[in-house]
Amino acid sequence: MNSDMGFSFSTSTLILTFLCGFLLTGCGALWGTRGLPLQQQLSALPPGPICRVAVLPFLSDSDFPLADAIAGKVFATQLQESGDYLISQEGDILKVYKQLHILPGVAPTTEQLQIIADQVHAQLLITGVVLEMREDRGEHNTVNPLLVEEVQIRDGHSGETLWTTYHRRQGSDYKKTMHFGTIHTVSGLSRQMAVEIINLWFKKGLPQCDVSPRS
Amino acid sequence: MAVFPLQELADGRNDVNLPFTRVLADRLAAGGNEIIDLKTIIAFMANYRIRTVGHLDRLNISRVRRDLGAAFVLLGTVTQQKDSPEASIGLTLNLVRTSDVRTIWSYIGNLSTGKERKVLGIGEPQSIAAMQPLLLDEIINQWPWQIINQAQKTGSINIDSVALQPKYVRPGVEVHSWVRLRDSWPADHAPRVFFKADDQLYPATVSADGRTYEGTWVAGEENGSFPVTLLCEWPYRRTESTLLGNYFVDGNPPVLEMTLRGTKILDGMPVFHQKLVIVPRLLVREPLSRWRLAFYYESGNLAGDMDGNGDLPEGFVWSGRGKAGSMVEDGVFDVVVEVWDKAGNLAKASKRVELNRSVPEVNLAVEEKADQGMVVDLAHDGKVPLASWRMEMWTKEGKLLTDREGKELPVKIKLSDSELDPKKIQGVVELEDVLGNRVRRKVEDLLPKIEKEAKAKAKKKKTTVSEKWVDEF
Repeated sequence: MNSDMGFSFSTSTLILTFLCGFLLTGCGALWGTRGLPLQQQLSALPPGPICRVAVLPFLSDSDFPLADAIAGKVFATQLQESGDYLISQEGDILKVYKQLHILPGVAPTTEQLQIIADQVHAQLLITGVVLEMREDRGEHNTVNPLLVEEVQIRDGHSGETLWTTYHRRQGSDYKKTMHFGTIHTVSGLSRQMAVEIINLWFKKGLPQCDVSPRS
Repeated sequence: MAVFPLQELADGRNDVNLPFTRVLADRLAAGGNEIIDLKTIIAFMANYRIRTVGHLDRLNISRVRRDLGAAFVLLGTVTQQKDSPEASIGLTLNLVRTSDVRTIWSYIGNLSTGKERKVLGIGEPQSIAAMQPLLLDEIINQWPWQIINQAQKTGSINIDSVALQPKYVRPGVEVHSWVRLRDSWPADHAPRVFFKADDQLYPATVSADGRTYEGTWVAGEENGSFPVTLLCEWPYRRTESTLLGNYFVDGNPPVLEMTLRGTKILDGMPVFHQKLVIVPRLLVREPLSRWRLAFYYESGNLAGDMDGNGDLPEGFVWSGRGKAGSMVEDGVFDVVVEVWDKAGNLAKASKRVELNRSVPEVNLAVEEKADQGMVVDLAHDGKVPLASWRMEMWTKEGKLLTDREGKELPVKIKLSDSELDPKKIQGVVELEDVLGNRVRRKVEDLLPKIEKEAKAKAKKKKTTVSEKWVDEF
């Protein structure tokens, strides 16, 4: 009887010891180690339902080639997938940029933002800046991407920033156990971070569109 | 569905990835989607000077719907693609419904060797080429089949109104079609428009406003129903057609027969006296446009007619009235029924008939014969045979002299009172011929004849006197 109890105790102790060691060695950077994106609400969102949203081309302070395009495309697509918004066609937005002679990589002025929102009939404008994007070397000849971005929700009527969200992640932040869970591409990391930002927005009260179903 | 060239961000903002676009289009086509040829898409982009890839504006998406007939546009960007240090690929796709320019499905995919790492390292994709099939599998798995299947095939030919005339036509007759469309195209991009009928193309002429198209062609010799489609040929080999309607070629006149009822055949001629029932009948039923019933005198002059539109009535009844509504005189008539089918083919049926409303003529004579006493001779004139006759005679005192009936005349009837004064005879004679013409005559009315005969006899007697006078003279 005692010997049975002693065997059982020692087995449990071993398992617990292994798990603690696994976590302490860094193999288990679980969800708790990652924080939410940092969000600041400067003004309240416009009242009423919000459906028409335009995701403007992102800007980039990074040296990574076309970091703005990668992060911007992925963010717009993810917002479309998550919120069922009537996202303005990128072609329409770029058409207005062309009309206003806004060059790639240049931020529109407040007046230009108002014009863009008016021409694409957007209630909200989403702007973003890639502060850092790079592909570091990971373990076993893999890539460990890093992305730092800031995304703003702007009022289409005034062009002013309502909410701003800062987020910084690298692929290894998502490692669950052994090598599994790690994100190895800037596209994948952009998507994961977009999901987290958009989910935070919903949690903070960004209304989802309630128009007719897509089909 | 129009799959536009994918944007490639590996080297530049406006690079295009045609190989993967083709692979994606082929894979979607293999899954049952109707994909517009990539060459057509590129020609479309060239025509509208679309120099960038990965996105389209509303105007061009509408043009895709109008010019290419696509219900959906698939736009996408290959966000990353490289083989080293770790093979990776990233892709975003947006499926835009052209009817309302709304993105109805989106996809973000990314694969890397590290992401696809297996426990024992077996089967890990080590190159982009090895990853593309995996990415395509993922796209197909997430593809919005239900939305695609529910979406009706859209056409860019929006018809405002159509006229196709005549609907029924004889071989060799012209058919005319007129179509007004809701849309118009700029002159340099206007489609070539044809009317297609009986596997032949007939060029359409366009109105000044560019929306109305007209065409005329001659109906062929073959009978049958022929669909007419409007066929538009745009540049870059795109053709779209829409059914306008059908016309029917009919070169065969209706097969018409006519029967006359209420007649008796006399000397080979149908004869009626009161009402003629005319029953026309189509041996092969078909819709008619109009009909006409006419009666002609034997001389060929029109006695009366009537006409109507649509199918024939089940029958007509002619009571012998003419154009003005007055009764026509007895005689021989040609009854003619004419019908025109929807194509205008004429069929005619005619029959000759005689109208005879004359009543049988009664001839009555009373003779006193030495051996038989008073004898009545009853006969009738006319070619129409008698159906029956009846005669009653009685004296003014009410004594019945005779009551006879029969079917044939002439007949001699011996009266019961042999010493009767003919002036005192009363009675009735009734005759009916086979046509139904009836006559009822009083014997008193016939008496003048008897008196006449008596006078003739008296005259004869006077003649005798005269002869005496002559002798005296």
